[in-house]
Amino acid sequence: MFLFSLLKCIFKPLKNSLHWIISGPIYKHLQDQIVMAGKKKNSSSEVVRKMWTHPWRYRESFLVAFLLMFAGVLIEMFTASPGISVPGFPANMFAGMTFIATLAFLHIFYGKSNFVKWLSGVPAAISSITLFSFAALILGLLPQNGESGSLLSAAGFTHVKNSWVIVMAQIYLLTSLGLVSLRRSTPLNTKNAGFLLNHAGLWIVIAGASLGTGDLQRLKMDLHAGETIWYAYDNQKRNYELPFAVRLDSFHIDQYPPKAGIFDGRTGRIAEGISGGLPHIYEGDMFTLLDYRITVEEFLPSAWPAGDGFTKSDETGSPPAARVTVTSQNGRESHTGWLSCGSFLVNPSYIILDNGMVLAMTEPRPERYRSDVRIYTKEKEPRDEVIEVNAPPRVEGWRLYQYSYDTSRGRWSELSVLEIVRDPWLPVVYTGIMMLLAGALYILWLGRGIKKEELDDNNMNRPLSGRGFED
Amino acid sequence: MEWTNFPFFGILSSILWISGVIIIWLPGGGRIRKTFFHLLIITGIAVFGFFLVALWINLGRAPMRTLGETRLWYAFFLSFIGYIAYVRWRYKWFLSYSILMSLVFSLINLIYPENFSKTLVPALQSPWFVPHVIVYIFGYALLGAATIVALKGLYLDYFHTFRKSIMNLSDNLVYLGFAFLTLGLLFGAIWAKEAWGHYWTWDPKETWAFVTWLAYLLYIHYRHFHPAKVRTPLWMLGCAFIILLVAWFGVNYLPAASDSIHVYS
Repeated sequence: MFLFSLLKCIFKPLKNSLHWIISGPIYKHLQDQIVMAGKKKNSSSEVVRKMWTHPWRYRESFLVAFLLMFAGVLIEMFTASPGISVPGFPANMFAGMTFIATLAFLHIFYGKSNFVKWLSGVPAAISSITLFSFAALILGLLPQNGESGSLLSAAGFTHVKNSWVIVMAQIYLLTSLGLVSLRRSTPLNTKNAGFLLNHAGLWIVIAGASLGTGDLQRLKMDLHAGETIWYAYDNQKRNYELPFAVRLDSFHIDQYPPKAGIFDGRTGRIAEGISGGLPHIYEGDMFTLLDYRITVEEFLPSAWPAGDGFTKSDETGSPPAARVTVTSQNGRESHTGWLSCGSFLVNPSYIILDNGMVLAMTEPRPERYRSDVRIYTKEKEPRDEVIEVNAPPRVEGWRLYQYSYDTSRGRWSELSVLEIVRDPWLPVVYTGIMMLLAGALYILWLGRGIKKEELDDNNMNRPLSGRGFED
Repeated sequence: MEWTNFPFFGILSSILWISGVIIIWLPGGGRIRKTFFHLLIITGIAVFGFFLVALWINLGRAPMRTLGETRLWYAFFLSFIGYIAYVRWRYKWFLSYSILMSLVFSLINLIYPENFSKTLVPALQSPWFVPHVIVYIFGYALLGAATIVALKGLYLDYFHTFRKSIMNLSDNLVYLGFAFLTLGLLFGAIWAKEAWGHYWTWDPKETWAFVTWLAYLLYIHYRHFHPAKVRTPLWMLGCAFIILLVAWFGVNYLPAASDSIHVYS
C-alpha cells in the first residue's frame, strides 16, 4: 500500500514534468543549443546525436537526476507534512522486497534493453552519486533545525535527512547500484566478488539504514536513585511500556583533577597571554601563569568551607579546594589563599591579583560517567549491570546508553538519564558494513591493479586490460 | 619503560629510518645495498614497536588514551604501511613520504612531552578511537599526496608536457586513500553505535566525511571508464580535497556545525 502510493506520488509529477520537458519549449531550446554546440565542435560530416536517443549519456543522466530532484522538491511542497516518515514493520520490509523484486525483474527480463543498460551504466552511476552528494551537501551546509515558513524549508532543505529530495536521490542511486550489482553477480569470480562486496555492500547499507528508520526506536528513561522504572518516553514525551525494568542503585562521575587559570575579572574570560593548556592542580606542584609563580601547598579533592579556608569533607556538594601560594615573578610579593571551583552548595573561592585579574580553579572535567543498575526481565533472574559511555549493555533487544544526569548537582546527581535504542535492522546494516570493510581491504590489496612497470611511460600505449568501455 | 625513555627509542628509530630512505635514493644498485635498506627500515619499525609494547606492559593499559599516545601509533603505522606499500609497489617516494610523516609525529612527541597527560572526555574513551583516527589521518595523508600529484599534472598539462604515468600515480594514491577513508567511515559508524546510540545521525562531521567519500567515489568511477581523459579528473581531485579539508577542520566554522557532537574543544 505504502509502495503503491509512493510510486504514484513519484511517478505522476515525474511523468508530467518529463512530458512537459520532452515536448515543451525547454527541450526544444536545449536541443537547439546542443545541435549548435555540436556543429561548432564538429564542423566535419559527423552526425550530431539527438538527445534522448539511446544510448543515453551524461546529458540525459544529469537531466534525469535534476528532474528527480525537482520532483522531490515539488512533492515536498505539495504534501502537508514536512518530509516523509518511513513506515514500520512489516510495510518497510515489503517495500524493500518489492524494490528488490522490481530490480530483479528488470534485470532478468529487460537486462538487454537500452533503458536498463543505461540505468546500470556509468553516466547513471555518476549522475546519481552527484545527486546524492548534492543532497548531502545541502544537509552539511544549512542548519538542519527543521524550522518551517521559509522557501528552503518548503523545499525540504532544512530537514534533508527525511525529505523527498533525499528519497529521490536514494531511489536513483539504489536502482543504479542494484542493477549493476545484479549484472555483475554472474559469473562469480574473484573480480566480480570484489566488485559485489563494494557495490552490493553499499546497497545493503543504504537500503537497510533507510528502511530501518521505520522500526528504529530511540527513547529516554529518567532513573532516580532507588526507583524501579519500566517505561520510557520519546521526544514528544509520550510514554512507552518496556519489556524490562531498571532500578538505579547509584550514579557516579569520576573527574580529572581541576585546573588553575588566570581570568579577566571583568569579562570572565581567560586572561590574554596564556597559551597552551592550563595546568592541573596536584599537591606539591609548582607552575607559572603569566608573571606569577604558583605553588600548590595542599589539595583536597572533596572539601567544605571552614573559617578562612577548607577542611576535608565527604558531604554531598563538597567541591575540590586547594591552598596555593602566589608569588610575583620578581619574588617581592607573596600571597597564600584558597581556590575552589564551588558546587551547587558552596560558593567558589578565588584569589584577586593586580589589574582586575583573578586566579581561579576551573570546574573539573569528567573522566567517566557510570550508572550502577539492576535489570529485571520477565523470564530471567534480575541482574546487575554497569552502564558507561561507550559500553551500553543489551537487554531484550534494546541497548542502554548513559545519556545525561542532573547537571545542576554535578557528581552528586541522583538522577541518571538513559537513552535506550532498539534497531531490529541493525544486522542488515552490519552485514552491508562488513561487506564494505572486506571490499575496502580488497581495494587496499589490489589498488588500481597497476604494476610498477605500467607506470613507465614507454609501456603506456597498450590498452589497460578489462577497464570497461570508453565513450 | 616510561615516557622518559621515548627520546632514546624515538631518535634511534628515526636514525635507522632516515638511513634506510637515503640508501634507496642513492644511485646504483646491488644486493648488499638492498639488504641493508630492508634491515634498516625493519629494525627501525621493530625498535619503535618494542617501545610501544614495553610501555603498554608498564602502564597496564593500552597506550592509546591521550593524543600524544595516538601520535606514537600513527608514527609506527605510517612507517609500517609505507614499508609494506614499498614492498608491494616499489614506490620509493611513498615510503619516503610516510617516513617523513612518522618523523614529524615523533618529533612533536619529543618537543611536547606534556601532551601525554591530557584528559579525554568519556565519549572518546573507546577502543575505536585509535583505529578510527589513524586510518582517517592516513587516508587524508594519501589523498593529500594525490592532490599534489594532481597539481603537478595540471601544471604539466598546461605546458603540454603531460605524462600518463602521472594519472596512474594519482589513481593508485586515490585507491589506497579511498580504502582508508572507507575503513575510517565504517569504524566511525560502528563506534557511533557504541557511543551515541546510532551508527549514522547526519552530524555535520559525518555528512562532510560522507560527501568527501562520494567525491572520491566520483573520481574513481570517472577514471575507470574514461582512462583517456585527463583534465576533468584532475580538477575533480582538487575539488574533492577541498571538501576533505572542510570535513577535517572546516566543519567547525559552518553554520550547520552549531549542533555537532563532533566538535571537541
